[in-house]
Amino acid sequence: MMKLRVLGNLVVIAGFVVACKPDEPKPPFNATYPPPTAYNITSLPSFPGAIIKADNPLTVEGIELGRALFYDPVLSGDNTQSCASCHNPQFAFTDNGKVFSTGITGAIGTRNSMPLFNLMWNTRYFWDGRAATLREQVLMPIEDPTEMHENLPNAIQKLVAIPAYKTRFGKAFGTEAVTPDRMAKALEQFIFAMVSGQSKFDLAMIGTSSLSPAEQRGLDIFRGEFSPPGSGRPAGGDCFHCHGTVFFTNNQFINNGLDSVFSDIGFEAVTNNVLDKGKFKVPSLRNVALSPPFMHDGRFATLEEVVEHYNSGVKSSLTLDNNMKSQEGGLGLTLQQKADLVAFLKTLSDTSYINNPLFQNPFTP
Amino acid sequence: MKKLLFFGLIFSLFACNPKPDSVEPLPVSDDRTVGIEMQYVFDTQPLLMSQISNNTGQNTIGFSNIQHYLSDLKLKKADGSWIAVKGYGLLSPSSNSKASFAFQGVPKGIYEGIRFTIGVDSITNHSDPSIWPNSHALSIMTGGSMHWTWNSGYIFIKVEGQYEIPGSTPGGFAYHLGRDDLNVSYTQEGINLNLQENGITAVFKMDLKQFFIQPNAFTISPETSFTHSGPRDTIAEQLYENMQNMVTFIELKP
Repeated sequence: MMKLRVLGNLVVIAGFVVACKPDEPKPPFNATYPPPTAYNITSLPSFPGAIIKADNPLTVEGIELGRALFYDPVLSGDNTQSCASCHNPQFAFTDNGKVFSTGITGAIGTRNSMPLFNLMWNTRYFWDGRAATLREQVLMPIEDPTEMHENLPNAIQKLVAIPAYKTRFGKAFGTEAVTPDRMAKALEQFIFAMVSGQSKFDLAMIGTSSLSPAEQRGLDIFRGEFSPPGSGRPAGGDCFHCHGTVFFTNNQFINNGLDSVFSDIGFEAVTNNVLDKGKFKVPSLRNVALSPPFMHDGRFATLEEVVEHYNSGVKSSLTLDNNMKSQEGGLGLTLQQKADLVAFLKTLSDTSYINNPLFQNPFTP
Repeated sequence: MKKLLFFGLIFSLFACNPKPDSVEPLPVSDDRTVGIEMQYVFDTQPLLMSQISNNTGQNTIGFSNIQHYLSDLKLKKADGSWIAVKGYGLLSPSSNSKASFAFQGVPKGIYEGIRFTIGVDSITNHSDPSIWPNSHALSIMTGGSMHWTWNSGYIFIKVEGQYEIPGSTPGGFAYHLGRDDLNVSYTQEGINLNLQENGITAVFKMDLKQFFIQPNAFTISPETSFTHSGPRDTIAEQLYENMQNMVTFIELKP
């Protein structure tokens, strides 16, 4: 009788187990590594909603692991360079004012280090857009012979040998396994969390700060439409066409008239379309004053040089942006207007972002 | 004990099962879908992008980018009144020179006319674009290059390309129309739009030649090669007038 009762209880319990079995396998979290803490991106005025990857939601532990990987030179071939070596927070995560970055072998890169922020809302990565997703992009510099020059199996072996990393991977993903996919996901989480939207300009837009008269005039030129000299209309820079939206970029690839003959064909190398010759990613102008030099090849050292390029230096070619073709005679801005435009661009610097403790080197005391 | 076993089994079948076997059928919706299919042509030929071979009478031109919003569907009832259907589509011709957008939630019935707008209404035009979900046509995540930053609103239609300049490299043109008073609505009446049983698609033709010729024969030159619809912009106003004749009805199809 007792046996039957036990059997009956087992059937009841088994029934519960079967009936309550979820459709999807449970994540591998357990008592040692409980589910990580969700991380919510702070909503900023005029910013679109956060883009959450279903297979990689942001978590405190995932971001922390990504931050460690971002700053750890162990990911390079000779343990001397990390991602942060070429992406210094004080320079809006660019390479310390350098035109090109130097890899661990002394090899010199061919394109200027790009700033890092608001990449959650970006599409295609690198100046030439060769990475379709950030997750794809983050591992590429590690393996690039002109950059960190390490292969992923080696990098993983080194990480596995560091007990702290096993714990970090466990906390972020439920088990201590170190894989390229998990490395990429952690780096993606860290970089996705890097949101910049608290510049003086942003604060002025919500009324908690105000622009100086010169900065306001610069904003008017930035938003103003191009008017041919002699048209009698106020001068405008037409900057907003490519550097519009709250991100100050349209996230597209354009030829902005730097050259007529191209030593670097840019986006064409990715698309194999001759109509993309000389096109490069339109960079955000947020934090632009913090991230010299400028353009994909770092040819301009100052914002004044950049403004002068658009004012008088645009070169014609078949793929020159159509908006700029209409401005081939130059914008016709005066010295004062150019200075005002630069003054406005400097209001886009977000010091709270570059100094945010969440994004600083975790290995620095 | 048998009772215990029996109830155990029965209870196990129903206790936590998240997907019961019997599912209530969804009520049949009275709503219908009305699609707008746009066929892009230059004169009598399907529009081919990137070929500088279209003669407007004033210039030989090619197109590199055409995008426009479609919104504010209205349908005419038998009593002469119109019903409005919300929806916003961002259209651009695909490789077959066509694009389409489906307005959802149209009350079933029989209608005698159809109207839609290229552009967006004034309130929407000046709303914060961040209010829209990232996948929405009005979000800067999908239509970023169609929004003029904070205050000035959306570009309703963008027509870009190149034009021949004898003895020189081709020039570029970029016509961006997008001011509250530059919305263009198209109406077709005298049709039998039967939405009793199923949805329907109304097919229209957008002739880009008309954009440049009727009623204003427009010459593209370095001085007239762009507009961003600023106040008192005569280029935008001429092209706006030409847009009135640019879209014509072709047919209804299931």
